[in-house]
Amino acid sequence: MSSEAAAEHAVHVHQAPTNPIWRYVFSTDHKVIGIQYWILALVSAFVGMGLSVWFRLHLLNQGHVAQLTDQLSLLVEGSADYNAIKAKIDALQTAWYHMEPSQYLGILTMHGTILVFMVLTTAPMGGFGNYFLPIQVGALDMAFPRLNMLSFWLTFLSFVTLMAAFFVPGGSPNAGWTGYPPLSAVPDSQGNGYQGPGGWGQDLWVLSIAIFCFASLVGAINFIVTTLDLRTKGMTLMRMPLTCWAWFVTAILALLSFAVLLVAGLLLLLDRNLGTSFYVPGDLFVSNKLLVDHKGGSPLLFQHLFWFFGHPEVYIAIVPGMGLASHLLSSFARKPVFGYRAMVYAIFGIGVLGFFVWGHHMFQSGMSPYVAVAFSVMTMVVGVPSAIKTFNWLGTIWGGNIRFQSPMLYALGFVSLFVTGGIGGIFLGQNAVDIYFHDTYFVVGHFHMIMGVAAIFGMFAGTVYWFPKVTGKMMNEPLSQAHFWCTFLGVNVIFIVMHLMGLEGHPRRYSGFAFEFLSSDYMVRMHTIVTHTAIFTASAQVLFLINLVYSLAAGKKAGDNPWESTSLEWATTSPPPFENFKDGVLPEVHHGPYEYSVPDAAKDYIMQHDPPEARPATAPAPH
Amino acid sequence: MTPVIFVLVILGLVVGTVAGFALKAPLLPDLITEHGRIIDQQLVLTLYITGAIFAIAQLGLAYLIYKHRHRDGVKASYLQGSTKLEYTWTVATLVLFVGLNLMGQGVWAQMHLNEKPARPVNIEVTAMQFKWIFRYPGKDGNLGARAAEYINPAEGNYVGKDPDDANGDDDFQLLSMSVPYGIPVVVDIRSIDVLHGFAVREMRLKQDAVPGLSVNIPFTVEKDGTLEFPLSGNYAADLDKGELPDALKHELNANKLVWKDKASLRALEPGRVWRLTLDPDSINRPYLVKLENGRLNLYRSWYELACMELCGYGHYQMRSQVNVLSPVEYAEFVEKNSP
Amino acid sequence: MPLTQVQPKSALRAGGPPPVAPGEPGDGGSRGQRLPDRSYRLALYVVLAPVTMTFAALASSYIVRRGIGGDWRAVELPAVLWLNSFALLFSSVALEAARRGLREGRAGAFTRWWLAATALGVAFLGGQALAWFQLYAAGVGMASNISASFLYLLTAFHTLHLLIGVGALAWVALLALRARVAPPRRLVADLAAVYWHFLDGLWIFLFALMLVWR
Ligand code: HEM
Ligand SMILES: [Cu+2]
Repeated sequence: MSSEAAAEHAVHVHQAPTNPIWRYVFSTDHKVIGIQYWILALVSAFVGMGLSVWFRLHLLNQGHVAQLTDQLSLLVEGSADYNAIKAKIDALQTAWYHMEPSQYLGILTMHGTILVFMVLTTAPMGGFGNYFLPIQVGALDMAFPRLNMLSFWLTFLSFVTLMAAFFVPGGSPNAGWTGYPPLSAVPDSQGNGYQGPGGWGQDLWVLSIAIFCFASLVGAINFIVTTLDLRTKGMTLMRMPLTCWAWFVTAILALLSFAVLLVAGLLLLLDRNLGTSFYVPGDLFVSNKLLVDHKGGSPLLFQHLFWFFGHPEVYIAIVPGMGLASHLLSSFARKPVFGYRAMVYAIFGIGVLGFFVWGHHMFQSGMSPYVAVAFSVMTMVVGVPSAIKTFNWLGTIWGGNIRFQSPMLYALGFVSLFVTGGIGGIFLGQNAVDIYFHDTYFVVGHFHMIMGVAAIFGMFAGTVYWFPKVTGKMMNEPLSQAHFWCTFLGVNVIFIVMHLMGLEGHPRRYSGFAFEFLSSDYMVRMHTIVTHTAIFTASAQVLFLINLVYSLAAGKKAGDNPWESTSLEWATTSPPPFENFKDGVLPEVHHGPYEYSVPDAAKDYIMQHDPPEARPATAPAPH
Repeated sequence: MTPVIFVLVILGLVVGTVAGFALKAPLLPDLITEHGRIIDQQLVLTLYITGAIFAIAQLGLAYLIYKHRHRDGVKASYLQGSTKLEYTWTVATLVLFVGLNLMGQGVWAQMHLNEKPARPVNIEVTAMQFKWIFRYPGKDGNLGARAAEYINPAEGNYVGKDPDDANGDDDFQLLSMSVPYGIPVVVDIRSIDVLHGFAVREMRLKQDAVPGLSVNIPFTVEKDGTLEFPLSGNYAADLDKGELPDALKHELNANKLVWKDKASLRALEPGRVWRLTLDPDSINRPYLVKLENGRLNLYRSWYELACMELCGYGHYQMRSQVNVLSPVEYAEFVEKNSP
Repeated sequence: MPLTQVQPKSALRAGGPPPVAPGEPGDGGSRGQRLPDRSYRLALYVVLAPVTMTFAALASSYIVRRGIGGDWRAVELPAVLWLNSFALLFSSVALEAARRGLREGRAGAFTRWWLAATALGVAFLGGQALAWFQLYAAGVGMASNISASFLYLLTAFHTLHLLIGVGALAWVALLALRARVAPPRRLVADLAAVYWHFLDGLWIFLFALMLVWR
């Protein structure tokens, strides 16, 4: 950029606030907000993971209890053997991690809700998106910084509300993360007086989600306007990095789906507290009495509203990871993304088609079986763009020159996990086959594989990739790699084994094993493997924490562009100044986002803001 | 080094996963219904196809990782895509996915869309926290009307049977489900409180029980039992007398089947098939002993029925069972239970 | 003094943020830069998307629930809602008249019409309150029947959005009244008008839904 042009583009911008409260807490700076989101997600991830380790321990325990109970039934009551086994059972039942059934469901519900909302929905979008979207498109900030701040603090409020549910009378909500009524709508319905009319857990759950919806809507507006309107000169849509496309599509998904969840939650709240009958049918016989104040509601209505949100939501979790994986594969294979346009269309395809498949969560719900057929076919169609993306990822590294640095490892791990998880979808998406798999551990394995760990690998990738930019220091490479291997191995074992348990018909959301087929040797062996591997994998996350702390304190100093990537965030200093670019002068973009190994070019990469001459005239035209 | 580890890990992943599925024996629980065969076919077909996709994709990934690992002096190709390839795999996956899906629609239609079989055995399934109640139409084959206003826990009338409806006079209700094999059955699945899920693994049947809704599902059981284990001795003569020899009792015991006092034994087809009922106190556990190829085999004729939709703290123990009877036994069963 | 203010065209496209118009506050734009007008327009349309989805979800719930309901007992809509509908329609017309005044530089016309529209908006709110009061007095409670639940819910949701709309209209009206000092910004008037028309259309839809499919 010539110096006059630079002067012309220089604008007067406000200085960073000096008061730490405005600078670091109630900041309108997208970078600070991004970090805040990221920290919120990190804390939530550890809370959620802790809960899961707890109930895995409990479940393994219950497997042993079930087997011992089987043995007990063969023995004569009162005999020495009998008493010995009885004592063992009692000991297991009083272990510190033992849970009461309703408590189990409460912890399970909180685990799901925390991870789906506070981790999978916040970090990829609110965290990385907030920090890097404006920089990657070449803007000074998000379009509406104050709304951005509002969005984060609402999310935080939602988080606090959800956490409060642990501590209120009646305990945490226990109708599952999907919160199906009437269980969630009739205060008495938990049976046994648990979560009686005084129980606030479920109300707080709904409230928290409602606040979350609102926060996400506010956030999404910012993403869309920023992407469409604040791109710097030369940054055409088709020159945006795929990360930006992914955030953009994710924002659209959030915009259209969270509004519906808001309504679903609101109606649930009314049914619970004001005795309306949106979802609650008449004549329910609950807790040994006939409920008279409800009439004719439809439980399926909630399911439709919920999954209208729910399916797009799973893409909200994964699409940013897809964008980042494409970005990293290209960057570390030193090769252009294979089929950039196809990738963009596939993201859009997923976004659009994703709104027409929600019924695949309801094949067995009592919904019209004709409609189920349509949903089933649509579901298989939405598998196609996912497959396209996978092929294109493989195409991207094909013929590359792969550098095995930790971001690349996580990205490659992402691809592998995405394939494995997606394959479960091919079973579940067929209404006939889903008859067998619905609500078994197969589903649990499927969605953890793809939405749980694949998306989380996207976050790990983002963290190691951008850590140098955000902090100016590199993360420790050996620690990252060790963490990658442990986690990659661990999650594969855990969730593939869950597929096998699903094949054996293991129902989900069981807090104990009162069935013969659940106390078989096979099942207990599988539970043992899962629990042990889960403990191992959870422990491995400590490596990640140590790495963060260590690198923050003593990491190697990072240059501006340690990975030799091309996008605009690498055109500025590490960490970027308050104005994102030096003196608030926005760079002008002359190149596509993935100009690696351009024939005859001087370097093996051309940054987006390099002068036009950087690209030799002899090179083939960009996509 | 890293690419080699990566290749090994992926190799391990593929081999481990394939082995996990291949070595799982049996792959699926025993199958007893007619429609289930088609579901299993579809499932196994999908397993083969996706198994191949899984292996090819993961191994392809490993191959590319190794082949294109960084080496000094090597420059990556400037390949931006290939429209032809992209079209090819888009169309191919579309055809494969949708085709696979359409193949499964036949059995779905059989279960949900087609007309229900004429004159089936009707059984009403009522789910409630945390048990299953099965109402049978009795000898007249017609269930009495029901309405919530008649629910009366004191009389055990949870299904809300109308006391004034004559059709209901010979209805009877039980906590387990018995069905004849070889005859179409239609279950009417409903709930009186929250959502529940009716599921029997061996029947390849799953349907949510929704309050305010009643869903009818037809099925035909085509097997009388599932082989548990072959017996070591030949007790046919004793069995015909209605006696269980001690040796057999021990053998059962060793296999975790407890012979209690009230257990009963009778010949269904003397000299060939005997019905053994263990545990008559709680829910019946019917077994069959069959003489086959000169030796005796023990078959189980009961299957666990699980709740598959979260219904509250007792969800995990909401258990019942399905007993499979011969048509003759079923007729006797109805006769015996009809008031 | 001209009421309209021309935006520098050059600033609108990508290529660095547009200069901050002199005397204009940052307006929540990026880092004190003033965003181009079209960004605000875009933002408004983006906001309307989830609002539409919210009401689409409510309306489809209404239709589904109406379809199943053997328990559905139609509620007589309070007559004042008819008046309200007309008030809203006229307010939209008045807004357009005001905007015409704005375009043609007739400050007085703008202010008068805009005030009229605002007043009609306030009247709608009053009418809505009256409607609720009448319903309540007639013994129709939130939970007395599902149709009543929907009636309250749809109107309450709409009123909530309308409150924001009235606020926006009032704010522009305030600017207009002070027009001699600083001309009201065309942009704000435009945005408020678009939002208002949207709510107007939405109301017609909801009212028709509740009327036709009682
Ligand atoms: C290849 C494409 C995919 C197909 C065909 C597919 C299909 C399905 C189906 C049919 C179910 C419902 C199973 C049941 O409940 O019986 C399901 C569950 C689920 N899927 Fe997928 N899926 C695909 C990809 C994904 C992706 C990319 C994600 C997330 C990133 C995802 C997340 C989930 C979740 C969270 C659930 C379970 C929700 C619950 O019941 O709690 N799926 N999937
Ligand atoms: Cu889905």
